[in-house]
Amino acid sequence: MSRMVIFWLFLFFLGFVLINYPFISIFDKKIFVFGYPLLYIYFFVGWLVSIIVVYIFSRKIDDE
Amino acid sequence: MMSNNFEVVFFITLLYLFLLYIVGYISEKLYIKNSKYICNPYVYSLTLAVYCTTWTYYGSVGRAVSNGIEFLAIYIGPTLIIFTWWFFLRKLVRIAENHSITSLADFISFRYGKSKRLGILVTLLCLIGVIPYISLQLKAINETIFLIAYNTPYLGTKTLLVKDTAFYVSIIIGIFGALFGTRHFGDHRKHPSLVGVIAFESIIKLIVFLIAGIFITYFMYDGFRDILSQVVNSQSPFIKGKLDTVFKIGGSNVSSSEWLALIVMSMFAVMFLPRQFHMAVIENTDEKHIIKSMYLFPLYLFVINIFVIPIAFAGLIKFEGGGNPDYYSMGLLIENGNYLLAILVYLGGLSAATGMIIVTSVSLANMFINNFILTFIVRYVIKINLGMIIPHLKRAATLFVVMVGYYYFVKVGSSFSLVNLGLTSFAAVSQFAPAIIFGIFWRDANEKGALAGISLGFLFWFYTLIVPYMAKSGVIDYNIILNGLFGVKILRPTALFGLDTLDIWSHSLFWSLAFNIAGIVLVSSLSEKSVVESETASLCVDSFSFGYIARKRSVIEGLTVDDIESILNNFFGKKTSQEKITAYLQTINKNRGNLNMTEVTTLRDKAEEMLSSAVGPGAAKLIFESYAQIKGKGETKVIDVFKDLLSYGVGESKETLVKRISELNVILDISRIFSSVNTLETKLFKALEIIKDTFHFDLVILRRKIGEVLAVYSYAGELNSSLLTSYRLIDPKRSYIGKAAVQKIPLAVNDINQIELNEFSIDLKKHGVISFAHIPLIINEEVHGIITCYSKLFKNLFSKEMISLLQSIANQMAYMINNHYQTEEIIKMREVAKELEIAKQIQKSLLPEKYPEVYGVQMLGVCYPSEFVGGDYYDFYQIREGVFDVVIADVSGHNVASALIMTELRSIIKSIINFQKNITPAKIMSILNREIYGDLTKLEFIITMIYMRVNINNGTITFSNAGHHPPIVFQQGKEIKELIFGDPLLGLMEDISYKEMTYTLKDNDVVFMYTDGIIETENDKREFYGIKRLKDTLVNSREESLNGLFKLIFDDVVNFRGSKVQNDDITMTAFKVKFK
Repeated sequence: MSRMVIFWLFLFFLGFVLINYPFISIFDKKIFVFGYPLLYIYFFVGWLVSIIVVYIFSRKIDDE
Repeated sequence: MMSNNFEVVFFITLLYLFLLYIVGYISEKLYIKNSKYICNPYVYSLTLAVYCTTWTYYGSVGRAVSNGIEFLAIYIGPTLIIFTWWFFLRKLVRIAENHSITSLADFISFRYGKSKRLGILVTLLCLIGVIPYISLQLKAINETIFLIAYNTPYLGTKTLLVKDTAFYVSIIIGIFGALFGTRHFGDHRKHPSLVGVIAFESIIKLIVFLIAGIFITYFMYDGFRDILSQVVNSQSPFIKGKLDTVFKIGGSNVSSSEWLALIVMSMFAVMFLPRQFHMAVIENTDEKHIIKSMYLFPLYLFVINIFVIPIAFAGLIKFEGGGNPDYYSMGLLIENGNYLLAILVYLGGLSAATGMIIVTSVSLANMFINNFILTFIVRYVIKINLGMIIPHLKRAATLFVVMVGYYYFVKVGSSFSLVNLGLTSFAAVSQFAPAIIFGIFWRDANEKGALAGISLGFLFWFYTLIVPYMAKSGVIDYNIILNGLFGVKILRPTALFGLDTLDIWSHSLFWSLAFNIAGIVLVSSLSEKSVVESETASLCVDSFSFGYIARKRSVIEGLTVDDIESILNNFFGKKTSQEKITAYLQTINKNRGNLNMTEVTTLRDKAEEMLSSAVGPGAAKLIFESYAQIKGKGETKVIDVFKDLLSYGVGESKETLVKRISELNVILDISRIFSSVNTLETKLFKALEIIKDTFHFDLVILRRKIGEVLAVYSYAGELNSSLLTSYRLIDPKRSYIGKAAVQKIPLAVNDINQIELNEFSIDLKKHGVISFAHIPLIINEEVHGIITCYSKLFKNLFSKEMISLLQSIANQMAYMINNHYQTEEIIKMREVAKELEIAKQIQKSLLPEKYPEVYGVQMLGVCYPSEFVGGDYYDFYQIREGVFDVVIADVSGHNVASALIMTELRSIIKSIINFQKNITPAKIMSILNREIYGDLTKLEFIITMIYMRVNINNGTITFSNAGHHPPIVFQQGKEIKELIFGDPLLGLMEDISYKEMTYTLKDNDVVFMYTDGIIETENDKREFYGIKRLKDTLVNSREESLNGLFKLIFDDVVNFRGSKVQNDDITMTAFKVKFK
């Protein structure tokens, strides 16, 4: 397996942990930040970050 | 009012569908003009968004109202699986592309040996699992038509069926699918018009949803925060009661296990739902498109979900949970008097629904015809020439699938709740995941395992999801849920085996996947796979490795070009099939009368490939098999050296593979001897000699069976007179050789001191033989002779592998001896030698197809191969702007092993420069030597090679030379010099640190490198072409282009050679720099 594959797999498992219980119970609370529920912020911001991460690393594939 | 509105909506719907038709038409026109308009990563990403159906478009809002953020799970799952796409989805695409796969069912069937049974099973399960999902779309269209027509914000308590409208809409969509899905254009697998339509629909549904979201959030309310604060501060008891549910996953009735189940199911769904597989794998035109889609597709999902929560909350405030929350976006607009916007929302929903229905029905129809119907009617199709009707059948099937969806909606939709049918489909297609994932990463997964896994998975899916549904809606006795099947408590469908802590989704997913995986793993491990299966398995698992694993060929004896043509005629019509055949005949420069068996078989492979693109690989294979059966032509597998290579290669390390290949060279060499013009005696002697030398035996004897005795026929090595003259009676009791001959099995004695001696072995022992083996030569199940190998040096020489190798050599010899007696069979023998051409193909495939683009530099390489396989290699690599590398190498030896060494050489170089762009040529050479030394010494090979880096930015070349002829630098008509500098060859010593030389180029300099094939060319007078002649030719040439220069040299060499044959490859590389 190439290093690239291992790395993508790592991101996959990391993501898997970040979007599942028990981890998300940290954010699964009725708290409002800037007027928005914490859990919503966590998911939407996290989602966007993951898209950016894919964007950055997919350019590495392009280079190869 | 009502009827008027119905007409309006109906008219708008028709108009929209007509627009789709126009889009489809334009897409095809654009595709013809320039395929890039349709085949690009942006359109590809948009087509993946067929994932978003009305379930997203309306259902997300509904789910958000009831369960808060839980709806996100089925979009986050796909975003996550995308991290694996570059090696996972790309592998699926690669396999599908290489083997003309047309659907998910094709894929699974192909992987497991083109299994008919799996094709049928997967097709049926897709139909059962996915058609209800179509009903869900029709239901949404139907209900939104109702809302618009009645101009009412929400549906009443009882859903009204607008049956007639739904019926017409279904028929029209079905016809659409039929038109787009089977409009073949060149390649039967790709549908540019379908792709265009789906991309267009994805844009429409996204934009409309955003417009509605922005309008509701910012025009009807004062932004999301305003909506939020209204929800939080609401005095309504209903909303108050919901606050916990919507702000926390944990607060709703969604358990953590359900959350996990949703994510896992949606990861599988986004890849294995028939429509997703179709758009992502089948319609993919370039693997590279996956890269951009990896962030564009999740971005699409992200954007389309932004306004779900605001709309849901706005609806919550307005309607307080009344009506069907799915349609709150439309309801809010109607309530607010924005009728036109509501119609726009309806159109967005229509686009989401039609996109899903069209792709799903097309792909299901494809499966249904290729893997189901064709399996049963294939004989009729061939007998009465029905091939041409297959596209029509597919069209009919597309319409049929939609109408079944409609029927389901009408009959069952009213009694069943359709809401969760989407998730039921997700759970259904998740059952294909183990067979696919194990299939492409685990070689030993086999057909029986896949059948067991998928069947078990579906059984449990059905029992734990569908049965509870049926019970709840009163189709079967509700008692089954409370007390289990037959009143056995432990068999309760929602608490199977006493597992009563999970929700229905995770419960079902857990049991079905557990049994599915256990089924495929256990059954695969415990059962054997067929030869065909191991081939297709290897083709899938190793789809990224280099392609020297050639497919085993099955030959239909007596198959003629006319037969092939009649099969193709049947499916493609006279014109196309004739074109195809003529094109092939032209490439091999023959006419149809004098094709040999190999050529007919190649043509047959090509025809099968063409058929595959129309009906899938499984059905294509079936068509040829049935044809042979009907015509009474038997199918036999030819002895194919590369088949052996494959079965040895499976599951073994690179090291053993290299060893195997060198051993297989023995077989190749023997084939070559047998295809030469010689007496049988000479051939046999030479063949035995090869066996003796390769395996370091002291003596190899071939005894022929004459009546009831075995007499020495030929031998290699030193033979004492007693062995030579003695006849052996075939008596299993008296001698080992007799036993081997009677039992028709190879027999080895690994240590003569360990056995019971008989009169013969005493004699052997006297002559110092330590171990020996008798290998029978079997032709048509009859023993015709015995090859015996004797060793005086080694005990335990005859391992299981060794015996099986000797056996296959003996089989090959038996085959060739047999052929020798039948003169007309000599042609066939030559064909065996033709396998060498495959090796030649390996070499050809290694040479570069394109060159680095460097401004001001002309570069070129050529290789004129000699008669058999050569060991020459050259390549160009772009390093960065203005810097590129040139490699030229010559591997000693001319056989498959040298071709393989070249492959290895190339992959090592590639991996070095991929990871360390700044590494110097000397370093590369040193690493290369170290890496490849082991294999080279094992095979007694050496390599000469130059690795040169050219830097145009500063006009220098830097190179390292491992014993190769020095590079020549010259200016035409002016000066010429050799850059003499070098180190030892590769493979001489393990630890050499290579040095490098740098040279500054002048304007118009040409750097020329070559292999010894040129200067060692000999003429009739035994003179060599020589370096001087080469230099003269170079410097005196007036040829401007490198191509011309190479041709000049080659022609000169050919002239010089005269009547002699070329016995070594002639390879040249050169580049010319212009600094101005």
